Amino acid sequence: MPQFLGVEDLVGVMLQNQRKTGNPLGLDGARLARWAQGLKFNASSGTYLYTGGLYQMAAYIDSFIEALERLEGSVAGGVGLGLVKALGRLGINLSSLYSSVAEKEAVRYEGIIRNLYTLLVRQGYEFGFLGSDEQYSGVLFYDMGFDSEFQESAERLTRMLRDRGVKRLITMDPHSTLILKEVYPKFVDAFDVEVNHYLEVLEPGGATRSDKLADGVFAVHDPCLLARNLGLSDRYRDFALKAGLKIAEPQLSRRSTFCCGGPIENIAPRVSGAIAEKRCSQLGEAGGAALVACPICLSNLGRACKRKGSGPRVVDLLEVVG
Amino acid sequence: MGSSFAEAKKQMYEALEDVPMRIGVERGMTHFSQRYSAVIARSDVMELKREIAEIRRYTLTHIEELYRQALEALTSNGVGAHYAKTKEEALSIIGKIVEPGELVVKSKSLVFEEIGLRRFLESRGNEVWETDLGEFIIQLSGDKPAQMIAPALHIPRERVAQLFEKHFGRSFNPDDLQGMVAAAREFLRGKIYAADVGVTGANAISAKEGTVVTVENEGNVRMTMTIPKKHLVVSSIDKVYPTTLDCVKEALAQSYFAGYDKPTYISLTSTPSGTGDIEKVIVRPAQGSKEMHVVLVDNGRLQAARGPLAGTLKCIKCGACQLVCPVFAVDGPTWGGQTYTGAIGIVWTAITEGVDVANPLSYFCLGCNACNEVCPTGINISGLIRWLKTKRT
Repeated sequence: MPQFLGVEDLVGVMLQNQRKTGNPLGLDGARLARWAQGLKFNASSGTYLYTGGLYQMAAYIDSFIEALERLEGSVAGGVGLGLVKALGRLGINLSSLYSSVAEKEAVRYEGIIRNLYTLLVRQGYEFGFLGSDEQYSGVLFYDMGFDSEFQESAERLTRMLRDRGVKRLITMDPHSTLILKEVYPKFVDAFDVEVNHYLEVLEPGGATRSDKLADGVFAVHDPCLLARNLGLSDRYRDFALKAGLKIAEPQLSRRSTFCCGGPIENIAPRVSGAIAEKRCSQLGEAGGAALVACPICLSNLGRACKRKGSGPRVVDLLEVVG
Repeated sequence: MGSSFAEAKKQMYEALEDVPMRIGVERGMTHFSQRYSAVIARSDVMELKREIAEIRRYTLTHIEELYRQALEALTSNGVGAHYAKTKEEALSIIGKIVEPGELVVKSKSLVFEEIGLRRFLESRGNEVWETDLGEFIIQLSGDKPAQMIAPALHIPRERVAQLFEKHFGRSFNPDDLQGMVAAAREFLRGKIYAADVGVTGANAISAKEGTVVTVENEGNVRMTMTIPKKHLVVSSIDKVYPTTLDCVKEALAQSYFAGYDKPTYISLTSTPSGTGDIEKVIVRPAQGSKEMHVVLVDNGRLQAARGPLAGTLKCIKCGACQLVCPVFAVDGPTWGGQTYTGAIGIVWTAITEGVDVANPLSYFCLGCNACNEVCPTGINISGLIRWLKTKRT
């Protein structure tokens, strides 16, 4: 039986990456900002699009988990735990782990962000982007109970937002949205940036079905925090329906949704994967493809449904409306 | 469950391969989900949810005053009333009530598991039988209980048939549920009628009247408390409510949120049985128990009520949070401590076994808030588990 690393070691790898690069997977800022190449921004109103790096990182999460498991596997292979811990503390640089598959996924995920950009511009929004300086929110450290490390990330991002005169953020994933809306004000003095998820900002009906991927019926998967904490289930459906998508409700939906398993993929990938496979079955029974609105759901359910072979295709809302 | 995160992860990974467990939990969760949806669609259930949440906010902030008042009321009812600070104290008190060699029958209660009651009695030479069917299956299997209401949730019918075959010495058809239940009924009735002591838990105890309220569907609790000559109630201090009416509301809420449209039996017991039918002279016992004792176990609860895990004490142990938890869905009772499993069970593990035991388990929580969504008393369960994550030792 393999020996496993402790939580401090696993989170420690991500913390070291965060300190070095501003994100827990150790991707360089330019790569995270690549989606914005050639796009024009106008930050004069103080409104910024904040990606939090989550869609970009989701493309590489599989490689990252493999690297962590290899690190754990090397203990069973005879390398002492002390050495592995030492390696872990140095962080894992993903540049050596990029595969063509991850690169293809990266392009896909960047397309999702570009699509949101286009939708916002079409509805008349003017906004800036922090570019390669954009920092991760630290949400993972908070969720794992590493509060002082989270505080460090929160203060770093807040400093940047203040330096750039940011008054309002338009966010695109439920995790960054909730942490900025509800947790930042508890950890950062006088945090007064207004935070809105794109589903709160964009008018349903302002988007149309994108023909390439949007045929058939979509089983709607409600991301947990989007449904339970942000209360955006109706808005999510309105947006899909008014864009012309056909949707179906799975066995567990809206506030009763079943998690994709993603939040523990870094520390217990096999438990996370088993949960994702269970959700894939539920979504598959509802018919057609599965629709999500979260990068963690997209990558975790996407991988699990592929593993199952018979699982549905998983797409993000921002891939099928345009 | 192991003492470190790495050990816990190893066991969580192994449990993923336990096919019978996963089938049992999957079937149980599916049946629960269908029944629960029907129950929460009722306006009377939603009204009761608001009431019970309010009552629980009060009991949490008055826990010490309430259990002391209950002990007084029980004593004035002629009931032997005891407070036990630790599980050792509880067993010592019980050891004075139950004589070595007496035949003991028990209903289901997680507090019994928490203090190791069956093992303790067996070690003193008592023959002990579980009268709740789920607990009886657990007694035969040697497992720990999987879930608050359905302790044998993780054991599918095929394994029940094997366990019964071994115990009864004849074969059982796994699809003949009726046949298996009938065999248990016949066997356990024989034990109940022969028993010296009946041990039950309490869903709620009223501080004002000293009345013990139990809710059940099987009928075993009523028999266990009335047929043997001694009735011993072992419960915990968080189960004390201001009035009997509050207790009945709790019993109804527990039943509804466990997915039942109505409870089969709610029992209210205040004193040992007696009759005044001959010249108005009270004679004990009549048809029920001759003696009644109540032991209220603390085991970390009072301390917890004053700290960051206080919210846990609003729990009515309906188990709804476990049956919507995705981690519990794939790992079942492996995700837990010795007694309490999944969702709120992780926090109960912290209170009853220690924060150091619960911390490694806490990291498997997804923070998806499915548990918070169904909790009838509004406990921020995932928030409490996140707090446990911060308590690295």
